[in-house]
This record gives sequence, structure tokens and C-alpha cells, in this order.
Amino acid sequence: MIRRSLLVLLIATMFAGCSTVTEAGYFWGDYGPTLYKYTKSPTDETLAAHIESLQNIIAKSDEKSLRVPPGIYAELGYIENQRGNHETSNTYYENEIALYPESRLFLERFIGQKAESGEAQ
Amino acid sequence: MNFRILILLLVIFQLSACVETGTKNEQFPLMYSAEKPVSIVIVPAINQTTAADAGDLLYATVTQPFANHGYYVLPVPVVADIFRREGILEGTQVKGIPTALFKQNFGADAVLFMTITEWDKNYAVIAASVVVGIEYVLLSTTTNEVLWSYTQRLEMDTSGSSGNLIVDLIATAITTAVTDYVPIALQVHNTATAAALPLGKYHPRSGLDGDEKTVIVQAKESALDIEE
Repeated sequence: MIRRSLLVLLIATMFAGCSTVTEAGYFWGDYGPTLYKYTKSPTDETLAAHIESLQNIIAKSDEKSLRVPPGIYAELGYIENQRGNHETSNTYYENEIALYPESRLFLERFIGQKAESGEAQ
Repeated sequence: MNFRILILLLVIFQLSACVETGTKNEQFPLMYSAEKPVSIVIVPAINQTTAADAGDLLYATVTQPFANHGYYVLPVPVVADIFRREGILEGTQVKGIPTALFKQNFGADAVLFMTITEWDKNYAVIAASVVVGIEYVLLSTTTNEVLWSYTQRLEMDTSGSSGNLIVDLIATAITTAVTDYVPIALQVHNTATAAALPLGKYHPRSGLDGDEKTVIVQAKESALDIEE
């Protein structure tokens, strides 16, 4: 009896673990909800929640040996740049380009302009 | 009695015949050709409804289904911010822009336009729903051709029925006011892409899904007023 319930539990957790990873192998966490909330009312609070959501996606993806979904590193890079953290921003942009070379043309411009655009704002 | 069943069967057959199907390959040959896009830039939605939130909702949720189908989607919030600085807040403002500019400035192989044609909330006593109509058109930034298009109309239950009438009555009263539309918007995109979007480079079955059946509901090109 115990053995059977253990088996059921095992199968249940197996499915729960799989359901959050898409067929293309992406883990999205809370991406949609936190992005929408931040878009709708951009406050420090909603921004912090969205950053946490983005960092959680990276952490969980690393944990599960998954490719970080498109745009996650780029978004963090953009946010960090706006907060004046150019070094961190650069690293994030480079991570995105390394994973998705298609983003190079778009993102390289930000890396180049970094210092000036940060002060101009 | 048997006769009645026969009639019923006939009607069912007739109804099913109305739904036209074909393979993805036949429907969207360009998505299986050299023109198959890898990177997609998604521009703000064109909102033809009175629901002000619909545009933001569908824009915030569109990355996931397209990325999940194997495409590189340029970071939507970053792209939106660039547009905002140029004074572009709504999809209609993008319509006139030559698609080649998206290649030059974003490095995108294709541009995705979304037109929200319906966002109607219906409240009944024990059920609440929202009807969402959306048209997707994916244009090549190289040739300006339509690579893929699809029309999705979906009625989503927002009442969260439990099967218990009294509980549902209370739940509906509460949820109509504070329904979280994020999962609904995501569901609309998921349904459309799952039904008809060919798989892209970053999907493990990329290029192998051409023979999959798809329902034919292509968006009208006229909906976009594409200017060559």
C-alpha cells in the first residue's frame, strides 16, 4: 500500500516537474504576469518583481540545464543599463548574443552606446 | 429511431466538412523554404476594440508561444521602449513603415503584426466569459511577402466553474471584477500557434512538422492594408 502511494506520488511529481518546461526546452516561470503588471503600472515594486522573475528563470534554467529563453538576458541587460549598472548590463547582453546570435545586430548598438546613453538620461 | 440517428450522423458529417484542413507545408510553403525566418520582431498590437487593456495584455504574453515554437523573438519590452521613444505606441503607427527597416534596425527576418478585432466580456448570472478575436500576420522583411497568417476567435470562460451553483454564483460576482486576463491572453496565443504555426530553428522538431494538419483560417491581407 505504501509502496503504491509512493509510486503515485513519484509519478505526480514527475509530471509537475515536466509541465513547467516547454517542448522547446524553456522554463518561463512567472514571466507573463510580472511583465504585464510592470507594463501596466511601472513602479519600483512591479519592476523589482519582474527582475526577480527574470533572474529566477535564469537560475531555474541553469539548474535544469536548459537554454535560457529568448530575450530574458536582453531584458535584464536593458534594465541594468537604465539603472546605471553598465558592467552587469554588458555581461547580460553578451550572454544573450552568445545564446542567440540573431540578436547581435540589435544588441551590439546598446553595448557600444552604453556609457553615453546612461549619462544622457 | 434508427432513422433519427442517421440524420444526426449526416448533419455531423456535413458540419465537419465545413472545416477546411490542410498540411502546414501546403498552407505556408514559405515557412518551409529558404525564406523561413529565424528572428521575429513583434510590433505593438493594433487594437480595434474598446478594451484599452487588450493591446498590452496580448503584447505582454506573445513572446512565449512564438519562442516556444522555435523562433528568436526580439525582447518585446525593449523593442516597445524603442518604439515609445520614437512616438510609436500603437500598431497602426507601424503600418506605413517599410518592412526593410526592421531588417536594418532590428536584424529581424520577419515582423509580426497583431490586430485585435474582438474583446467582448459577457456576464451572465452564473457564467462570465470573454470573446477574443485576433489576426496575426507575419511579414518577411526581405521580400515583404506574407509568410504566415492566422485568425483566432476564442470564447474563454472567466468564471472558474466549480460545478456548484451557489459557489459559482459568488465566484462569478467576484471574478468579473478582478479576473486575471494574463492567462487568458496567453491561452489565445497558445491556441493559435499550436493550431497553425510551423516550428522554427530552436525547436527540436524544426522542419519536421510540414505534414501536420492545420485548420485553414488565414487572416485577410486587406486587414493590414499592406503597402508595397
